Amino acid sequence: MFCSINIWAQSSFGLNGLWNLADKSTALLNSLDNNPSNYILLRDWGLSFSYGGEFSKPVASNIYLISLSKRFGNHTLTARYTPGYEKEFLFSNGSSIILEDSSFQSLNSRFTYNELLGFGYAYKFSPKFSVGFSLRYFTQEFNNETFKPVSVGDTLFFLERENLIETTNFWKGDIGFSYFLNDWLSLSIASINLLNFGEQSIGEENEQYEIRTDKAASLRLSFIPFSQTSLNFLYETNNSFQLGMNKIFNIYDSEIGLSIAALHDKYQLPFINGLLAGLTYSNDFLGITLSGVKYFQNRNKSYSFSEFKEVGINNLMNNKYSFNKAVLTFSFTLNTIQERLVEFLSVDIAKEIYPTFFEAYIDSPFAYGRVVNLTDKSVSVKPLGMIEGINNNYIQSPVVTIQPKDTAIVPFFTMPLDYYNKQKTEISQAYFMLTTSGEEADDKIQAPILINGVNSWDGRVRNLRYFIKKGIEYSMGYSKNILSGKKNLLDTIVYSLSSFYKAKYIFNDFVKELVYTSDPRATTEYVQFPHETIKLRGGDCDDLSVCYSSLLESVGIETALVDYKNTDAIRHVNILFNTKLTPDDAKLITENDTKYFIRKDENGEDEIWIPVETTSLTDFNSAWEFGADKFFDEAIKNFGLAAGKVEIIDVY
Amino acid sequence: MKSPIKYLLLLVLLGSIFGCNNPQPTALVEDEDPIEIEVITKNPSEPTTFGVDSTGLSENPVRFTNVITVAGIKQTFKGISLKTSFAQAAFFDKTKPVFGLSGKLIGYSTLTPGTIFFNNEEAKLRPFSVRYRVNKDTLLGLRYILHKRAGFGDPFDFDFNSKINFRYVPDISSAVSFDIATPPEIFLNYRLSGAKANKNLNLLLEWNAGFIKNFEILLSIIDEQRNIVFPLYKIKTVDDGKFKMPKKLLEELSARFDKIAFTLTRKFEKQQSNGTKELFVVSQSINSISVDIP
Repeated sequence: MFCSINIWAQSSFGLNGLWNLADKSTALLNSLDNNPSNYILLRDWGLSFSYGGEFSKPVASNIYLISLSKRFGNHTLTARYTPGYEKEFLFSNGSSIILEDSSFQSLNSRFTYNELLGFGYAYKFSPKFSVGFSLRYFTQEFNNETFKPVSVGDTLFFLERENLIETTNFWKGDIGFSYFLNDWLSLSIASINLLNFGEQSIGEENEQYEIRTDKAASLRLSFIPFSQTSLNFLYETNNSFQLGMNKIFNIYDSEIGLSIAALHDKYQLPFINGLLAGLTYSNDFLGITLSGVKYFQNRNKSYSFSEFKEVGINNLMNNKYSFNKAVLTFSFTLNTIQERLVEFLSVDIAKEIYPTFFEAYIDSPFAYGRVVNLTDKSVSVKPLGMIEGINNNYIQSPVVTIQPKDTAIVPFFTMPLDYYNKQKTEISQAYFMLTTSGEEADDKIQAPILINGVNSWDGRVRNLRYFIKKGIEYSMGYSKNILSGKKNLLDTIVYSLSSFYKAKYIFNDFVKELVYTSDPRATTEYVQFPHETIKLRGGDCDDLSVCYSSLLESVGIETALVDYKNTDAIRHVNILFNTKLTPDDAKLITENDTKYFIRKDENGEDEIWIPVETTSLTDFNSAWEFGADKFFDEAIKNFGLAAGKVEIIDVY
Repeated sequence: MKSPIKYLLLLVLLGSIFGCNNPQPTALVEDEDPIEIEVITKNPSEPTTFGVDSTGLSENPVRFTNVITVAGIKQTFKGISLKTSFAQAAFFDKTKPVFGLSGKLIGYSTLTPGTIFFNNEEAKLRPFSVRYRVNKDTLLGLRYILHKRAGFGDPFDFDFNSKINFRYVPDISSAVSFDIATPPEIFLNYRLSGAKANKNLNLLLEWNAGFIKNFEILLSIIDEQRNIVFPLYKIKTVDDGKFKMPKKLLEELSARFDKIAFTLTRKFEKQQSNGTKELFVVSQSINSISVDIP
């Protein structure tokens, strides 16, 4: 989508015809003339070359223009060289020399007008709205033959002809915008001759023949009543207009477009003074457009000089003196940037980020994007997301297929860096990207997101697992150190009791210098990693459960968190660990069957799990007893497990 | 790139290079005031003084048989106009040619067949001499003249945009009388801007437009030291009340002369062709002005 420039009636006269701006045809590629916001569906580079002929007598052919366009994101630049944008007038200027033999020698004038260069810039504010600006450079040469006396002696002055040449060059600048109200109606408004600044002034005699630069505006409406068919109306406030129709046919991966428009120019007769037609073929790489203008008045004739003097010339390519034209345009689009197939409508952050929950966002999206398919075909979208500070690279989420022209909700998942260690909560940015093929993004969007500190916890016991896992390396060293000191004892017990005794020795050693403290954080729950709990020598039930669980898990003892929900309005957590004993062997550790809990392993075999109240910082047997009493009362006796008031959460 | 596209590009490139030519210009037809300019002084050895008779009778009487001329002439200098009224009649005997020393036909001997009156004032018979070489002239005979300049001279006044009665009383037959219409008076002025040192001189002559068909401007240079006027160019244009001096012409002349004169002439002409009774009648309104070039 892009921008252009306008010059007087030239603003409404594009050599390639009058097209709906939404058409994908490359016919608009070089058209600063009738494309007020330089709206072109270019993705990367565009090169255009127009060659054509004027049906004067004799027929004259020329290179009309060469243009180069480049898109940079939402910016598009166009430059064009227009050697064929020229109009010339030749006439006897009414003066003549009577020679000695009474014959006449007429003096002639030649006025030449050129548009040499054009530059366009456009910025796309949104898929519906773009604004453009253009500059075009004009040259004018007025070559008048005049009398020059040539003296012979003192008083004899013969006359000879001499050319007096004056040139004046100037720039024109205009702005325009295009707005797509919906899928079937678009609007463009552009200035005409908004800025005019010249390089030098000329004598008043020739000044009157300069290109007229009256200020005006143009309004363009395109209406699509049927698929691939559009009606276009372009009106200029000087009472000139164009009314036309486009029809596009899709053939395999190419398209063929037809355009026809009736022209009305206040300076030309009859009322509908001509037809502008175009036929274009385009595919992803090449566009060929054959276009032409046919005027209803004979243009191969002489015109009155006095009328020219009065009305002047307003437009180099479309004026009352213009000949019929036929133009062949080749357009090449070098698209290293893929065509945009989908784009974001919005993105919603579903949850704040807890950096320690490094696996939590693999299963549950942290954000959802509303994405629209811009094409007439189903599109598979690969969503990518990256949170600044949390990810080093974009994390790909599952591919989503969106139906033609449909809108879908696309989930974004992530996985925080496992070495994230910021203590403070902060606001960061989440970057989202959609790709459909290759690596180039179809669309990008970003949104602010809250990242909690590394010790932050959302209060869900399930998520304490991440603190356990994250501290496992430290715990391994700590536990092994304890167990190595008990090696002689462990060697003397039967193998089936090794897990039980390992857990017992670790607990007894671990609780020696610990104290229970409540959570010091007022709002956000704060959970210590195992090394922090040991270093600080204390913690609340979360910290102690995490620490003890981590110590056991590090030596291969399975643990589970027991979530006691809303007990006395205070949520509590302790742990179960797997002794690996069978129910038949339970008597090796206790005769009281309320002190353990039987769970099935992955093979369906029953195993003895022991509840431990980690906040009971006395010894293992006490902690077991407290834990078992609580578990039996709340989970079994009061049907807490069945009612969901008590939940067992496996760490792995 | 696929081969067909390569060949297509090559074809387009070659076609463009060899198929280019400049667009045909649109022809415009000048339908405004045409200007024809004619060099008068063709022989530098024959400087021409221009006087009251601008019919060319004195310079080339060969082409006339019977001629009657009336003229009202204003010479304007620094806002002051001097009026001259002039009337003449000359009749030639085509059977009596007059030759110069080289044998060139200079004219014919004149006739004085009766009495001539302009507005009932009898014209005086005065010698009619013709210059034919440097410092050489010859007498063709007598012609009828009334001449009044600045209130002095013959009792004859040329009234502009009016009629002058001509009456011929032959010696041997009855009198002939008719009226000669006179053109409207010319009120000539000019606007000069710029300076020749700056090469930006602009000179615009302005007068009361009369749209008289037979109208011309005589451009002369004035040699003040020698007190001689040299007519250079005769310019035929439309009597529309304005004439802008061609820039290059003004630039070149002003580089050498400080004073230029313009003589505007409106002319009514009537010609009767009937053998020896052929008669040419001309009535002129003339205004001359001299322009100092700063």
